[in-house]
Amino acid sequence: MNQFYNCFRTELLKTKRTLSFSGAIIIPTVITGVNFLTFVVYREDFAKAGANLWIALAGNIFSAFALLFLPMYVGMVGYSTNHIEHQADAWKNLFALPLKRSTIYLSKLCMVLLQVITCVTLLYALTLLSGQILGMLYPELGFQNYDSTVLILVTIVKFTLASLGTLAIQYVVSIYWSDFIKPMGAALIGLVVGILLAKWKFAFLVPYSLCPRVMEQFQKENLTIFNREVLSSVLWATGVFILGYWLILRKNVK
Amino acid sequence: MNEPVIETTNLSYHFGTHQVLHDLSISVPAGSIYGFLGHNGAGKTTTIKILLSLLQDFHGDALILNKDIRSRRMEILARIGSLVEAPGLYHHLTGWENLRIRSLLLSVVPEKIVDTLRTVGLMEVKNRLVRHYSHGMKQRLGIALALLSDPQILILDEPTNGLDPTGIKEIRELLTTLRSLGKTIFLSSHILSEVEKIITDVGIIHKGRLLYGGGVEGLKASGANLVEFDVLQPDLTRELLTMWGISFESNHHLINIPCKSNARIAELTDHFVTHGISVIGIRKLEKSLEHVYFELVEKEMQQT
Repeated sequence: MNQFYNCFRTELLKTKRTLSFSGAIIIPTVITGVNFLTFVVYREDFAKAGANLWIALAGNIFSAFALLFLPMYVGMVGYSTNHIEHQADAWKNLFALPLKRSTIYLSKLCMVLLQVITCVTLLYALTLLSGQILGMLYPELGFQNYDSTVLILVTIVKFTLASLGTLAIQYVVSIYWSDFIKPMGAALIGLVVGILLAKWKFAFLVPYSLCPRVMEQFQKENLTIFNREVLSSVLWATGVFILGYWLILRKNVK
Repeated sequence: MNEPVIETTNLSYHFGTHQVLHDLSISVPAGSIYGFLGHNGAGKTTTIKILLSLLQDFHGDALILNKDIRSRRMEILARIGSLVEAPGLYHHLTGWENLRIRSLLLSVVPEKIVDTLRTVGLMEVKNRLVRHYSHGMKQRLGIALALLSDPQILILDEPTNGLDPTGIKEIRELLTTLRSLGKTIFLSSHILSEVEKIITDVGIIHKGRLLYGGGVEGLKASGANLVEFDVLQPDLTRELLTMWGISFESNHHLINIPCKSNARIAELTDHFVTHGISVIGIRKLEKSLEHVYFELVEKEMQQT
């Protein structure tokens, strides 16, 4: 356990002077910031609608976040965590140390998860904050009349869980591919294919289609967390992480 | 001879269809500086990667401190410090931060970082980003990373690669100091003259096969030594040697001839004198490692 903790600390130290955590802060800030300004500018149109504007506010944010930014972001964090070792040609040094390969694999994985959790937590906080501020500045929008915090929270948790399958694939792929083009190209192709297949009846089996499907569930105000999309993602993630672990145990550093 | 700390028996490895190592058996005595010498592509780095458990699907046995690298990987690696090819450094971090990462991974107290930086002479630049280090500084930082846990064995793959003469001299001095502290150093190089002055034992590898393994003095003593004859009739000497079918090298009046024994030197001298050649000086030349290396490689190539 101590070895794992130390290994994880080194992962944090390696992010010093890099943009690793910047994405976790910039993406939620930009999305919620732009959305906030949209509501300020078009507040009269939104006020006329008269419905629960939390759904509209979060819906706009989630459309951009879950359909575009999250799949690319999980690809990016998986890539950047492993790219540090590729760039330094440091895999051979890591594997020549008296450390279990599983410790290295898991500590890097936890680093990736920490960045994703930071990102979604900030997104949740900023979504609520922007709604609260809009409610205070423009009471006619009616944000104070509704409470959708649970729906937003549940949806963000579902997005996070639904992205685990993609995250696992991107993480394992970036251990083996050292360049930027291949893992990020795979993420982009996966994103497009995922959106195109989202309406297919077996789309819950396609990891890249799971976030678009959770988006649909949000629009229906569905509060069930452990549905087939989330379970499929968790199964994909478990399978791919185990495969990645098996591969890294047998990896020859040439 | 000291007990071997590294021992391989019939080590074989192939990348796809290309056989890189052929039944390689080496033995590295404790407390030695073992020069593992060979051309680029001879199989040096592959051997080192097997010893460090970076390559796993090899044939044969690799024992370090009498433990099998396959089954006792963690125990063995805890006693080894290594530098394989270029040091894997995080260029966006400082020298101290690179060592701090390694100290965390090895559970070494931070105070040890200072000692190690002093040993390799990087204390003054410890807070400089590694991307601003010279090539020599990076090599020394790589050695510092290998030294941090005070390992019993150091495995260094081409540690003088790309260094200028001053840098090479510094590394040589550092390795000699480390040996005096009781460490065993396994050192690979393809530039023989760089390591000749410090190694105590040697393994010569060519196309994945060991051509020689043992003490440096034994290697130099093996085969024919060159003897330099200083003669007053060099043209006649060359003519006679050619006629007798004896190989030689000549430089004006100095004629170098391989001789396996003192009796042979006496015999040749008699021949010269009998044929009217005045021999005014005879000197045994010390063979360089490079000379011996090329002799061995040439012999191997003739046999194959």
